[in-house]
Amino acid sequence: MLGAEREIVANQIESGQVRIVFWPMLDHGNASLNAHAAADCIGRQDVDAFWQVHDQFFRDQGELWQARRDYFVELAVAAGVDQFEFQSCYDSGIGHATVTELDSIRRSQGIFNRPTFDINSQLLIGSQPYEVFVRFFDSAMP
Amino acid sequence: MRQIALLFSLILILVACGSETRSQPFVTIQELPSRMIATEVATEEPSKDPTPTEAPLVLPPTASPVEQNTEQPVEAPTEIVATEVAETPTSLPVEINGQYENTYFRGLATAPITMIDYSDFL
Repeated sequence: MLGAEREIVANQIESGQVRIVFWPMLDHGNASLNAHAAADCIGRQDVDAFWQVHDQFFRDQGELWQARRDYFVELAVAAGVDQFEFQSCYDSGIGHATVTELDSIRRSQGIFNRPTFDINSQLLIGSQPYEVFVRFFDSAMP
Repeated sequence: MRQIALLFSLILILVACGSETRSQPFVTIQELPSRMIATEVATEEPSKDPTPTEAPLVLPPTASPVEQNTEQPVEAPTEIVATEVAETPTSLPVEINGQYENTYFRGLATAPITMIDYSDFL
């Protein structure tokens, strides 16, 4: 996501008003598949480390196009998770299978535009400024 | 004869006076101090009674309640704090950052708004 995410985290998430669920879209072949699989294997060990890597991937998007296994292993170690456990997950294909399944679910739901935000069942399509998210949050409040 | 009778009566009078002086109890010198002490003690006791002003000046009843009052308020706040601490563990078992249908969420699990972000890292 990035963009307005920092402001949403600082205001709506820190206050307990909103939670963000990350749902992978695999729109760029193996580059997308490997990056999401690596993030999933890190998250299996430490959810906070998943969000740390999630933010880093969006900041360093350019590097993901050419990223190999060693790049993800170094990233996992830097995030504080166990190296051998991460390698076992990544090499076994568990992470790849999980994100592939999630991607097929969103396709079955008719979600093809990237990014798409589902805010309490209201769809917001495309990158939007923070103020637009706030309006959606206000209207979605139960 | 009259003179003899008069003389005899005088003798009787003298004898009677002598017997009265022997039977009368004398106060010896040793007995005097004890009697005097007894009278002094008797005089001191009444002298204490007319000093009722000294008794209120002691004021032990008012002094001790003041000390109890100062101790009780100190203990009371600590009990209140203990009840507040006991309430907190039962109030918030809220999960922060967790799993959501094989993926992950950021924030409180009980947040009223869930925003699903469908995105690609690339």
